[in-house]
Amino acid sequence: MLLVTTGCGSSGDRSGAVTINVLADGQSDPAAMQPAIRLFERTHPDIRIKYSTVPFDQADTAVQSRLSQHDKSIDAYFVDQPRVANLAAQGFLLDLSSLVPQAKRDTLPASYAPGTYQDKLYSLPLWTSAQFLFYNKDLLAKAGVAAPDLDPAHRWTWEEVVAAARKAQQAGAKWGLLFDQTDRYYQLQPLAASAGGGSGIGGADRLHPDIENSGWQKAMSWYGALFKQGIAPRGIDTSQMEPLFNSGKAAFIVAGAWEIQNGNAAKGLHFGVAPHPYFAGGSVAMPSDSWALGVNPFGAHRSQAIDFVKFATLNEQGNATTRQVSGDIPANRKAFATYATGLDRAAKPAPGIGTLLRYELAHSVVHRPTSVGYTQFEDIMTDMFSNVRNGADAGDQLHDASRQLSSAWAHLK
Amino acid sequence: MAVETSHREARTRRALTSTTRRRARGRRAGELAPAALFLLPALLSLVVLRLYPAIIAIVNGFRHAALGAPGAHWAGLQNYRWLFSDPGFLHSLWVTVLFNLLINPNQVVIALGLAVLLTQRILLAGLWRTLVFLPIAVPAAASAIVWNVIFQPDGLADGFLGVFGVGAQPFLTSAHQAMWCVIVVCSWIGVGYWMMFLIAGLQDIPRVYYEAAVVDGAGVVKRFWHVTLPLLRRPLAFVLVADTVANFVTFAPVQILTSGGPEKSTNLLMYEIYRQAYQIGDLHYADAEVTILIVILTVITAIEFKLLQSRG
Repeated sequence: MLLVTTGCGSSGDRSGAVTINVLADGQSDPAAMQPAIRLFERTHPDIRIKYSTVPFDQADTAVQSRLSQHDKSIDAYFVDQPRVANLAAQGFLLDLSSLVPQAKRDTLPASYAPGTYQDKLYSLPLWTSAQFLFYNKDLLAKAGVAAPDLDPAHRWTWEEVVAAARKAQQAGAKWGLLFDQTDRYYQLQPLAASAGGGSGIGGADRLHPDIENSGWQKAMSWYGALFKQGIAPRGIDTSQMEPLFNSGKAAFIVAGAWEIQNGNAAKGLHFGVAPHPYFAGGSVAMPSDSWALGVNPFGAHRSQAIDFVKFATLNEQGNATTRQVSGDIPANRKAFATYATGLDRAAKPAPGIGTLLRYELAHSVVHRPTSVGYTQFEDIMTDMFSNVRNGADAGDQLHDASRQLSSAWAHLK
Repeated sequence: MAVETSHREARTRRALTSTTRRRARGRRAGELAPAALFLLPALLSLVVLRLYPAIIAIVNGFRHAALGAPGAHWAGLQNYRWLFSDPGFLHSLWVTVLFNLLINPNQVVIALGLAVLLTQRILLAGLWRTLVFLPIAVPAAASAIVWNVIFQPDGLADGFLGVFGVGAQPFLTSAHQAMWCVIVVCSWIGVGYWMMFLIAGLQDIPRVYYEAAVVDGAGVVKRFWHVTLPLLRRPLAFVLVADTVANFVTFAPVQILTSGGPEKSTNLLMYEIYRQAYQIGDLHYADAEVTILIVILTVITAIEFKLLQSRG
């Protein structure tokens, strides 16, 4: 399952050049980073990049298993930002604190913080993320439903979304509402946060589960009901959610900004964008954060790896080219400004999305919690979400997940 | 005179026997080196790929690493105390035993049935054997991916059942059906493989026994019961033991089809070990689970061998 792509040419075609290995998640096209790699190799003729990807769901596992063996063959790797604390605590990330002034100056403030642990900098942000409510204009029009507004002041509630989704289904839509990343904490944390449930991690040491409160109960009961009532589909893999929406089979999808690019490329899809919904009476909460780059402290070419990490994150042009294919949001301040301005000017799907993006990143973000136990937390929560989606009682599942978390964290203290 | 002759003959015989033994020992010593050389790759593989990792796992099962602390320390039986008070692990153990109780008899009986059927004089027997055997030639992961599509909502399985008026089934999303789905996939992969061993065993049974049984007036059932089964005991023992071991270490279909869910209904021990080691990140806890799996497999294999030997 390991896909390997390399920059142009073989490692021996330039004498004296050092080849560094970069391990990435394979959510996007393995060719996605090639523009950045080509640019880096042009500007750093003494370094070559060997770029490997592993499937998204196995990325963290691959890093965990290889670094626990002190694998020297990885020089730099993609880090899911909430895992920074866990990886740093295990000694799997090189301290990059010498880059703090530059990192603070050149990256988005909200993206800088998740790269730190115990006042040290361990990773630099490649991208950030924002989630929007995407809707199918044709399906809503057919159902006689007025489309939601782009203005965050007129943000829809989840209750409004479900009511509109039901009407769309009655008018012929196969599905009412999809979540781009079914069963992933990143996607579903905002439900509990909006209902007042918090992140799910409590305690001074951030190693105490807090998922049996009324906010989590409400959020998970609502989530389970979506599938029970047939508004959202059971048994469909996360990777199929966007294709379902893009092929006109769903009225709504909550998805990342990358769906703007993918939706624009989908034939015959007329879609619109609206702010991330919230529960009536609750608070606004939108997921954010994304992938960062870290350096393997056991790597054979740490200095060259740092050069690549700096180029891909702190260099405006370098950072902009990393997301050229994938459609992710750049975390470099200048690259972000250019990207957001471009979104504002784009006619398709609608002008003004850059303004919404800036507003959401400034006012609506809920970060995933910082905890050395985040890895265990995310794994156990994924199972819990899956069980609730498949029809298990939300209260029972939250109780069971809480017990599992207590047990897993107790072992690791 | 006769006594002296007898003594002489005895001495000669002893001398000859002793010479023969010496020659045999010499020959054996001469053969030992090439024999060892031929066995070396297999023995090395066994030590490097099987014994060494098993010993490492057993030793590491007595160690523990805390989050954020560098390195691991000796923890004695702590991991085992946690394991046997962990409802998640105990449930995984129960699920694995249940899975094996369901799948092993089914697979062996179906493989035996197919073996008996396909050793009869039926049209295109070779083709049917090939078709039944074919799934084992496909990697287990690829088979699981194909079956995952079959079990999807509105998939082939629902379409097939719909022909008989059965409504859409939840399959992989139901805690009551997911294990049966895994059993179907594992059996689809494995039955043809086990069938081939049994066909070889059936072909080794001399026809004369069947002819004698026919002369004695034994029907098809009696011939199967009194001739086939007793003479097939050795290959059957092998298939039962190897099948049990294979099913105890089932991993790919679980990871691809269900990830141990829904509600841990398919959280077999191998998947639980993988999850602890690489998702939860507690390698030593996983090593303790590996040790328990090794012990269980050793005990079950020993019992199965004993039971099948004692009947003879």
